[in-house]
Amino acid sequence: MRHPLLLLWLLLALEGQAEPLTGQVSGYHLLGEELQALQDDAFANPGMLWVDRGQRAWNSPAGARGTSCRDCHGGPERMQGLAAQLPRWNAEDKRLENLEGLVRNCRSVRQRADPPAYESDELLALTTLIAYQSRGLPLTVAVDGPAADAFAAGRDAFARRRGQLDLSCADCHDRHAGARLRGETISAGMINGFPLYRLTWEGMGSRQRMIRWCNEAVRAEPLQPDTAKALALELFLAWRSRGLELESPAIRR
Amino acid sequence: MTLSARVRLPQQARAGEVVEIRTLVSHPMETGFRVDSFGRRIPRRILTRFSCRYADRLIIDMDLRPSISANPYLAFRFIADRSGEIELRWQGDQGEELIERGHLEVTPA
Amino acid sequence: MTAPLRRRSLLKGLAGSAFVLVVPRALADLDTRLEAALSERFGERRPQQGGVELELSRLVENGNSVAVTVRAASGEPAPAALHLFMPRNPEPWGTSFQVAPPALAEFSTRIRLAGTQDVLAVAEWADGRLGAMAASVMVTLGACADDLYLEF
Repeated sequence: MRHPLLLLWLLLALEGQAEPLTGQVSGYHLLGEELQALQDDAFANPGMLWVDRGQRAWNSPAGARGTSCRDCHGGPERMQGLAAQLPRWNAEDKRLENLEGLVRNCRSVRQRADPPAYESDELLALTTLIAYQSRGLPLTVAVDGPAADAFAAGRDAFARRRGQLDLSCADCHDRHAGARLRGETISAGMINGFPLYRLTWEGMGSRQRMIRWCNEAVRAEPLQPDTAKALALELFLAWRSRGLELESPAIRR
Repeated sequence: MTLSARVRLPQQARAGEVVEIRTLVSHPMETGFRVDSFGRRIPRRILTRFSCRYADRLIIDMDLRPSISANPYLAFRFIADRSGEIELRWQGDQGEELIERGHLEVTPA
Repeated sequence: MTAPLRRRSLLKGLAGSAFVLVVPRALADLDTRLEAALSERFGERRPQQGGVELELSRLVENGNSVAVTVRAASGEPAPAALHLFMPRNPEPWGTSFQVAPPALAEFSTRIRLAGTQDVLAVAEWADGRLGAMAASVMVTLGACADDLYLEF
């Protein structure tokens, strides 16, 4: 096959009657009843294990100052709304900041502790706890003003083909969203469920982990977290998902 | 992730009532059949046993194997026949152990 | 949230309602890979059809986590144990649930299925009798390569 896109189209053509997904459709609607029920089950949703652990971490002193999140912020409910507005422009550091960056920053600068590693259970516990406070709130990110350049870069990253399969994000999640690929419906690439419990991972992951996984799937060099490009793409994806309710901890395949 | 559990235990029931216990415990249930990206086998690490004692009687004793999903979920039911302690115990192949306790108060029907 | 897609209703027709729809398999057709596992646990004994109920989806989206419920059939005396076998998993013996009154012979859990197969539930009574029910489960594959998840 000379062009990988041809292969994709062939697969899609074989499937035949795919219905395009238009607008913002949460990945929740692409789950079967059983997995929707698992996400909705406030007890059995495995992501709640991380919320529980986040609750304990929130109250535990850490770092050279021996302070806990609670000492400064009060209860985690004070974080309501925050995760739905991220990533956002940090005027002080002159860069975008996502949920993981915010927590790591607080850990190192304010608590004077070692920032927890990306995708560590320690970090995911706190980020999931914080995101959980915004469950049900619509995603709304600011993409104008100082964030405008990053937003444009994110839009560009979304459209740019990459990897050995020479596919862009848009090739699958925009132009072919709703089509079938093997046993699955191609999602619309909405990121309203993160941090989420992915059955493929048998664990939690951030938006950035999903981006890297997708990069790998098209045989591209994975975007490293905390780089301007990765954060710009996250901003664009959050804007594409605008208005969708935050579902963390969501369940996905 | 360190071993921790979410449990939903009944606290009160009438004698003869059927009550439910739901549990969810954080554990990778690493099968020992997977390899990492360098082709090295990831060693097995699983919970091997779950048990439940109710009012000094062993009512559930369960063997867990690699075919149980990561972060194991279990729900079961029993007939509340007397007041007493409920003790849930998970044991793993690394010698780890987690115990959760609660008290069930049973009132006459 | 946006209205569900029409595709969903088709899928529901095929699979969604199948959450409780089980396709029983005759025990005579059982996977030969079960033999060793059954011998290990039951010696020469082999189960007869019936006495136990097995509930799981006909079609599952990801084999890493499949909801399953096993219970003694109504009208049966209480069994001493309920067992689950997944013949196409690397290790077919899945779990054994030893149960004593006042607990009911019934449990729900989530299991791994390494591909499409017939799952077998076995009830074991104190007198040595065995009853079984098998159910066919189809495990679908995700869109992108599933074996890439270890690093990322």
